[in-house]
Amino acid sequence: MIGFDLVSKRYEGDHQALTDVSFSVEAGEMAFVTGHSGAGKSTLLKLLAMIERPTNGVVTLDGRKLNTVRPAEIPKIRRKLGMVFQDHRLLLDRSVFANVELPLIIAGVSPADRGRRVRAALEKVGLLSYEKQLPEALSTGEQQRVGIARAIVAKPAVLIADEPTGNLDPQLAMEIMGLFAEFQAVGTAVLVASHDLMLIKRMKKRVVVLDHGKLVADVPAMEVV
Amino acid sequence: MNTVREPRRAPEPEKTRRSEPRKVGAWREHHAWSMSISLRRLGARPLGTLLTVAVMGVALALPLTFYLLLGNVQRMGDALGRNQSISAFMKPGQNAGVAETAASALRGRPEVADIVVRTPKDGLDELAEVQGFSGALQSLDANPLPYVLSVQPKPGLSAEDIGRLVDSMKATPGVDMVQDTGAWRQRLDALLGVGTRAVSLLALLLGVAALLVVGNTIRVDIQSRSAEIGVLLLIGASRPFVRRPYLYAGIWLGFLAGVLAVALAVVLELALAGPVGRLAAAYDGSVSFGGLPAWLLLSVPFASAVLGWLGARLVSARQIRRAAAA
Repeated sequence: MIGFDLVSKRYEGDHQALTDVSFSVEAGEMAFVTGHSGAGKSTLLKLLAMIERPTNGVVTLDGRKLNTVRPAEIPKIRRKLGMVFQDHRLLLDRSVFANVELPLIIAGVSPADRGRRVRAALEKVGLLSYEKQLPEALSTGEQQRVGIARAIVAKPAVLIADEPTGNLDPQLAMEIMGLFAEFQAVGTAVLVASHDLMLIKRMKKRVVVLDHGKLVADVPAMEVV
Repeated sequence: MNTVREPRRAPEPEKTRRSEPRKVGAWREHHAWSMSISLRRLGARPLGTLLTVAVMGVALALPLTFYLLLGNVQRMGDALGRNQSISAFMKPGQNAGVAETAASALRGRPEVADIVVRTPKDGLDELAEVQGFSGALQSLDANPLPYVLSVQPKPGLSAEDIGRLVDSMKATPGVDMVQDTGAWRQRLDALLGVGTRAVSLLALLLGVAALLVVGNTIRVDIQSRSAEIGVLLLIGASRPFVRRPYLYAGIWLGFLAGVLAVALAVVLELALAGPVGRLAAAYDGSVSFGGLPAWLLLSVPFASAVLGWLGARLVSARQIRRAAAA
């Protein structure tokens, strides 16, 4: 589903963010990418979201080589991805419902289907009763859950999250991770960048470790202790 | 390198291939969504919207007002110059036959509406009616006045047409001199021509100004929403999708400004109607006030909406590219 094959990324100013990184995440698999600050976790997700292009190597998503995707095709590819951000990036002047509805409007889903699916996604994250609220009226954890509802509402094949629990207390963080695990259980490939080792250990999922842009360990779920 | 495969069923991603009717439906829904979002955004900052519409509206009302004034000066000229004729004085001693022949020749010209042949006796009688002349005329041995052809040109002739008619009258056998009492009308027409050109240029300049006003408003709006644009692009929105609400905002701003311009022009029209009515009364009702034509009033909001769309289009692509890069 997701593939990195000898991927390197060098930014302007000669900063080498990734060097020859190779791994893949299959459908129905959940993996953490961890490492210290500046290890290359966010760069990895940016390559997958086509915010950046690799300097070398091949990134694939659902069998499609992202290196060769034309700019006009990027939106279509991104619709296969659900993205969760640390700062959740909600549109603050629109209701919870309107925020979650956005990917469906973009995908051209009919209004009747949109209402049903938005409510299903909000129910999934436990925020159905908040649909008319503005995001600012919600707590940080609730805002993050709205972000997750927005990421999953269009049933993406892949869910990626960049430090999704960075601003949350441990209990809320575990709840969020529990949600991700549920999406994994229905066949979604989930890739989470996080530096919260305690959380990663408790989740007992596959862990890809980066250090200075290099993949230094790829620990299977069953070996995580 | 280890890769762990957990046995799960295949995911069912959102279908990206849509049927034709659904594509059309989605296209329609995208536009409806963009229209409603753009209206909501304009409504969310009423003062800014009001100021933009007011600046554009006043800018568009100016050429409309000048057009109204010019049109009425033209009407006034038409009304006052309606009975102005061109007189051709026959050479002294020419008889009625020559005068009639000359009149017949001129009647065939396309510029001529009517010709009246005035005999020397008619002229003398007219002079006699003028106070103070009757005594002097009685002392004359013979009538010194010539035959006069009073030519009434067709209405709506240009200065060039009148000039051609005068030349042909001068060239008519037996004619001594031609007096065009409507020459002032030609000068007025020339002045109106200058005015019309000036109004056209003014309309063009103010149209460009209106376009820039919309462009700047949209530019500022996009700048203030760069974070939102970034999010939309990340969750799969295409640039045309992101851009569409801003284009609709330009259309709404332009349309509302056009409506305001028409309203202002109508108010001015009503304000002028009274004084012009009094002027008409002074000219025995021969002058009447003409308002702006309905087709113009109806087309201004739509033309202004096109200007708004164009202004938004000019800046939005570049600004969205910048916002996306940020």
